[in-house]
Amino acid sequence: MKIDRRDVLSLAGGAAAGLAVSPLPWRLLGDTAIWSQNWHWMPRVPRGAIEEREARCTLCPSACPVKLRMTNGIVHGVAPNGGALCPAGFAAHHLAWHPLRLRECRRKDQAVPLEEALSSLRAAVAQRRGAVAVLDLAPGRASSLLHRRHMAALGGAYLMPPRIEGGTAHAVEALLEKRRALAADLASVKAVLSVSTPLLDGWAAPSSAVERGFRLIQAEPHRSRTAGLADEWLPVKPGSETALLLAVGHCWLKRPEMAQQLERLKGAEAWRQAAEAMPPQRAAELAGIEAARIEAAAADLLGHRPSLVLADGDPVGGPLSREARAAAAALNILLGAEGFRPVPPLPLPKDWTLAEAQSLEEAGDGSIGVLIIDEPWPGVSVPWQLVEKKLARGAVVAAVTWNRAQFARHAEWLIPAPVWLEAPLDAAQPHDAPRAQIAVAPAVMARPKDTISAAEATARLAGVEMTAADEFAALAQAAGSEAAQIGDNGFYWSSEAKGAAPAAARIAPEQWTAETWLRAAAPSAASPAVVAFGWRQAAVSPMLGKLWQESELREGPQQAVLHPDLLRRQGMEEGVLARLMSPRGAWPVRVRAAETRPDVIAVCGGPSLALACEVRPDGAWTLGEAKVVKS
Amino acid sequence: MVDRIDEAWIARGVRRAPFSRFLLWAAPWAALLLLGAYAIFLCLRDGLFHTNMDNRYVFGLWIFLDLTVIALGAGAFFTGFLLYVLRKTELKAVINSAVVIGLVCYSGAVLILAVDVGQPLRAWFTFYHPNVHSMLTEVTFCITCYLTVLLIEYVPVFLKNRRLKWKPSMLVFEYHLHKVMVVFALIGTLLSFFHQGSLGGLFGVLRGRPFAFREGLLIWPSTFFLFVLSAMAVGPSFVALTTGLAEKITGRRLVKNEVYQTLGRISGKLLLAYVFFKCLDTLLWINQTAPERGFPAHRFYEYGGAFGTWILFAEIALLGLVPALILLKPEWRARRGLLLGAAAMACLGVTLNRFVFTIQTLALPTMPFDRLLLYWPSWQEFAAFGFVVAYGMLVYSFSYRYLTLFPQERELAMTEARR
Amino acid sequence: MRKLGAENKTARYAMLIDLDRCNGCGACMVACAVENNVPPPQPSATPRTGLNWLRVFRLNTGGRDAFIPVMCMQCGDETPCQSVCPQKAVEFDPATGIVGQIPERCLGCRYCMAACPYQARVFNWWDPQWPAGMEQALNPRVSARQRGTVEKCNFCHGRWQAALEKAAQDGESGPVRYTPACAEACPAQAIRFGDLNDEEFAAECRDSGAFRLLESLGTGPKVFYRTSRAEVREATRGFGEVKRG
Repeated sequence: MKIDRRDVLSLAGGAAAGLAVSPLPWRLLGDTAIWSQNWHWMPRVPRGAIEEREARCTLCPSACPVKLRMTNGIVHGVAPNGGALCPAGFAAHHLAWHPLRLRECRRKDQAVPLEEALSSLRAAVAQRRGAVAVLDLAPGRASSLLHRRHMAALGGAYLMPPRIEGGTAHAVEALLEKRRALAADLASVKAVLSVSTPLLDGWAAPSSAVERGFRLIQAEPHRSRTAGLADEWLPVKPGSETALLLAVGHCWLKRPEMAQQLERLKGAEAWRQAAEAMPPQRAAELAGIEAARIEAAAADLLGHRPSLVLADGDPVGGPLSREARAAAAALNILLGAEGFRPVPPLPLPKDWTLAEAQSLEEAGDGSIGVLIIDEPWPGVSVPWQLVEKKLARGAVVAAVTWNRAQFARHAEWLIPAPVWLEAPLDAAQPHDAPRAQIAVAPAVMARPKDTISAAEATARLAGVEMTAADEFAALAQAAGSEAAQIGDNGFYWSSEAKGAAPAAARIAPEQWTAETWLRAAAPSAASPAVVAFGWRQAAVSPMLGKLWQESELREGPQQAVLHPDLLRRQGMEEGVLARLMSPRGAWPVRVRAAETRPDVIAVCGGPSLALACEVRPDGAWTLGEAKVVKS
Repeated sequence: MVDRIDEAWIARGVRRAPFSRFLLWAAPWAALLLLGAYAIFLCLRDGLFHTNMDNRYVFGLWIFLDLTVIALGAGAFFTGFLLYVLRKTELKAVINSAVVIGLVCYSGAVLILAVDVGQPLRAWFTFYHPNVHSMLTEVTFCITCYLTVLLIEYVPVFLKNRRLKWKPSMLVFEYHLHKVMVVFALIGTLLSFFHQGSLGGLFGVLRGRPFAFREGLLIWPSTFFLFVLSAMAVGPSFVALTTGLAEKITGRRLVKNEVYQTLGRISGKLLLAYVFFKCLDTLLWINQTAPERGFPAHRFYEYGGAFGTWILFAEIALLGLVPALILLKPEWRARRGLLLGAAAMACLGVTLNRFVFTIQTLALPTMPFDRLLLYWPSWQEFAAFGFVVAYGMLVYSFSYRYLTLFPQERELAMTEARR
Repeated sequence: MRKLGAENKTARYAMLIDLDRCNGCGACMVACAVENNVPPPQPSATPRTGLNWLRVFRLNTGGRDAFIPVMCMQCGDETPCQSVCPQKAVEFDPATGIVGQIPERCLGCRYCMAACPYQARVFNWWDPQWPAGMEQALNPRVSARQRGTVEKCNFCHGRWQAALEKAAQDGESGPVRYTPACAEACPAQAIRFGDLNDEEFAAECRDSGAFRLLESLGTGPKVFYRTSRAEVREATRGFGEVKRG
C-alpha cells in the first residue's frame, strides 16, 4: 500500500479530532489548573502545633512584654502581652532571616573560619595589651557588665556611643550638682516643647506615644511624624534651635520666681546675658518663624505645668548641639522639672571588677589598638569619624554584628552574632528608667552555627572560660545574685543595680560665656540645608517597608522629603530617584513631596547614614556639605 | 520557484505585488510580532509586574484596546447582519474583508486577555463554575462562542482559494456552509450583540464606581445598550475606513463607490441615534444616577487636564455628532476624503468612549482622601499590543493576497484594463 | 467541621475604629502582613503595586495629622466585588458576614478590584517571595497565595477557624469570639472587633458619632469609624458625598 501525503494529513486530522473527544484534554486542563495552585517555587507553610510562649522584645531598651507564637521551635508570630508594641515588634522575629544578616565570619571580603578570626584578634590584643576597647552600641545590658568585666581583665576600655535619647537629661545633670536629674515623666506632664526629638515615634516605650495627656509643641525643620501629631509645629531652620530655646528663656526672665530657680544653674550669668540678648523677634528671624509663636510656646509651657523641654535629637540625625541641649536643660531647671536621682550600688558578685563605663567622646584620640564593636540589634550607629579619631595607627577593628552592610566598609573583621531569640534575651536599661534594671532570659530559638555573641567574644579575648551554653548563666550572674531563681520564661529586675550612665559629654556651662551661647544660635547657612532623620526600628525587618514603600504612611530609609516648591525648583518630580551626595558617600534616594521648610531637604536614612555623618565641634551631627541632585 | 508557488495561490484575474515586495511589507510586522511575543513571554513567565498596571489601574492599555478593537470589529457581525438578514446585497463586496477584520479583532482580544489575566491556565473555570450574575461571565461565554462563529465564517473565505479547490468535497462543504451562513450570521449577530452589551455592562454595573455606574433596563445597565448601538454605528465606518486604507496601500480599486455610500449612510444614521441616546443617558447620569449615589457629577471633572469636561464634549459632540452629520448629508458623503475622515472621527469617538469607561473610571478616586492617579503603559504593554496589531496586519495581508476579500476587485480591474 | 451558627444564630463580624485614638504608627499593617503571610515588599514595589490587606492613609485635615486604617469593609448589601467575579472566587458567608476570597479559584482578571470602591483588594503582581529562610517563619494557619491572584482582608480567617475548632473541642456552640491581628496589634486600642448581632457592640456602631466610608453607595460596609474631630469627619466625607435619598 502506498501512503501519500493526503493519508498522512487525514490521519493527523482524525487523530486531532479523536483526541478532542477523549478524556485527555480535560485531564490536561484539570492538571494544569492543579499545577497552577501548587507551583514548586511557592513557599510551603510549616506544619505542626502552635505553641505560645511569653518573652520580651529586647530590640530596644523598652523591652516590651510579648507573646511568641511558635511551631517546631521557630517563632512565626509576635503579639503584645498586656501592653503596646511598636510596628517593628510584630516583625521582630524576622531579624533572624534579614536579607542583610551577616552569615559568615569575614575578613574584609574574604570568608574565614570563626576560630581563626578569634585567634587573630587574641594575638592582636596580646600585642597591644591595654589598648583594647569594646564599643557597646547597646549599653546597659547584662552583656555590658560582662564586657566591662572582660575589659577590666584585659586592662582595656569600655566605651558607649554618644547618647541621643536622654541627651537633655544628661545636660540637666551637667548644669546642676550631681544626683539631680530631669523628671521626664510623660505620664504626668501637661505641656512639652520638643526640639527635633521623635517623642511620639520610637522615643522611649511605644506606649508613651499612645496616650498623650499633654500639649505638644514640636520644633523641627520638617514635618516629622511627631511634628504632624503635635498640637503645634514650629518649622525652625536647622541650627537655630539654641536661639529658639534662649528666646523662650527670654520671655520668662521678667518673672520674679525665675530668679531664684536661675541661681541654681551653673554659669547662670552667662546664660542670662545670652537670653537677654535673644528676644523672640531676633530668634524668629534666625529660626524663620513668627515671633508670636515663640512667645505663645513660652506662655504655654508656663501655663500648663508641670511642663518639660526636650532637645534630645534624632536617632539618625544625631544629637543637637551641646548648647542646644544645655539651653533646653536650663529651661527645665527654670520650670522646676527635675528631681533627685539615687545611684545605688551594684550587687555584683564580690570577685568581679569592672572597667569604667566611658563615653566614646571621652576616649583618648589615637588610643585604641584593638576595637571590638558590639552591634547586637539594628538601629544604633555612630559617625565613623568619631570612632576613627580614637583609633591608633594600624588599629584592628572587629565588628561582632548581625549586619553585613553597616560596618563592612570600616571594620577589618566581621563576626556574625546571634540575634534576638537566638541569644539570651538581654534587655538594656532605658535612659529614663527611675532605677537601674537588668533583665535576662534564656534564648528561645536555636543559635545558628558559627555565630558568637560579643560578650562571649570579649570573654575569649580576656581568657575567661565561657561557652555559648553558659553565657546565660554568666548574664544571670551579672544581673544579680537572685538571678539563680530566674525561670525559663522569667525575668528579673534587680532593684539596686547601677545603671551605665555616661558622664554628660563635655557640657561645662561654668566655663561658658554669653558669647558661647550666642555663637551656637546661628542657623545653618546652606540653602537648601540637608538634614538627616530616621526611625531606629526601620531595619528590623523588610516587612516594615509596607509602611513607606508599599504605602505612604511614613518616610523610610532612602527617602528624601522636599517641599513641593523646592521639588519644582530642583526640577524633580515626586517619586523619582535622586542622589544624596555627601563628603562621606553617596546614596540613591527617592524624593517625596511633603511639608517641610522650603529651604530644607530632610533625608530619611538608616544607621549607615548616621555612620556617614560628621561630628561638629559642638557635638551635633551633620551630613556636611550634602546635596540632593537629580540622577 | 518561490514566485511560482506564490503565484499558484493567488486568485485568478487579480494582480498582486511581486512576492519580494510583499515580504518587504510583511517583514516589519513580523519583527513587531516577535518583539510582542517576547513581551508576552515575559509577562507569562514572571508575572504582570512587567506592566505598569497597579492596584488602582487594574485595567490598562490592554483592556482599553480590547474594548476598542471589539467595538470596531463589530463591523463584522453588523455587515453580516445587513447582508444576510437585511439583504443589503451590495455589501457582499466587503463582507469577506469584514469577516477577516472581525476574526482578527476578536482573536487578538482573546489573546491579549489571556496575557492580561493573572492565571490564564484557570480561564476555563468560568465555564466550570460560572457566576451567572457577573457581566464578565457573559463576556467570556459570548467571546468564546462568537470567535467560533467567526472561524466558521472565515472557512468559506479560506476554502475559496484556488489551490484549495483541488478537493471537490471542499467545494461541496463550502457550498453547504454558504447556505447556512445566514444562520451563523444571525447567531453571530446575537452573540456579538450580547458581547458588546456585556462589555458595556461590565462598567455600568460597578455600583462602587459612581463614575461608571448607570441605571438599568431589565437586568442590564444603560451602557449595555449604548455599547451595542455605538459598535453598530461605527462598525460600518470601520469597514469603510479599512477598505479605503486597503485601496490606498495597494493602489487598486477594490469596491464600488456605492458600497462606501451604503456603509456611510448606515453608519451616519446609527451614529445620530447613538448620540441622541448617549445624551439622554448622560443627562440622566448627571442629574440622577451619580448624585443619588452621593457623587455630584461635576466633581468627576474638577481635576481638569486629561480628564476635564473637554473629554465629554469631544466624545459626544466632536467625535459623535459631527461625523454623524457629515455621513448623513449625501453631498458631503460623496466626497471620499470627507467620508473617510468622518468614519475615522466616528471610530475615534468610540475609542474615546471606551477610554473613558476603562481608564477614567479607574483614574478617579472614590475614597475622599484618595487622589487622581495617572498611568503610562510599560514597553511590554505597548509591545504586546503591537503583537496584536502585527498579527492582525499579517493575517489581513495574507488574506488579501491569497484569498478573495473583495469580490468586486476582479470586475473593477477588468473595467480599468478595458479603459 | 461544625458550621458556625447552624443551630444557633449567625454572626455579623464588624469593626469599630476610633480615629481619635489612631496615631498612624502602622503596627496594624505589619501585624496583618505577618499574620496573613503577605510577603514583604518587592524591591520595585510602590504604594500603587504594594500588597496591603490593611492600609493606613494619612488624612489631609489642614491641622494635626489624622489617619484612617482601611481594610476590606466586608460589604453586606449588594457586595460589589462578589457579584462581578466570573468564577465565584469571591464568596459572602452568611454565617459570619465575611466576604471570602478563594485564591485557588481566582483567575486574576481584577474585575473585583475595579468594582471595589474602597481599594481594599490587591493583586499579586509578583511571585510571593520571602528572604531566604524566612518561609520557616510563616504562619501555619494561612497558606501563601500565587502570583496573578487577587487577595484581601478576610478578618483573619485563620484565627476565626482556630477559634471555631477550639469552640468545637470545648463543646461550645454559637458564634465564636476571636480577635483579628490588627485589633490585637493596635497599641492605642483604636480598632475594636465585634459582632453586630451582639446588642451592645451594635449599639456603639449605631451611635450617632459612628459612620462608614462612602455610605451613600449603599454597599453596607461593616467597618465603622468614629471621631470627635469635625475636620477628620470632613476629610473622610470629602468628594461631595451627600446623604442618600
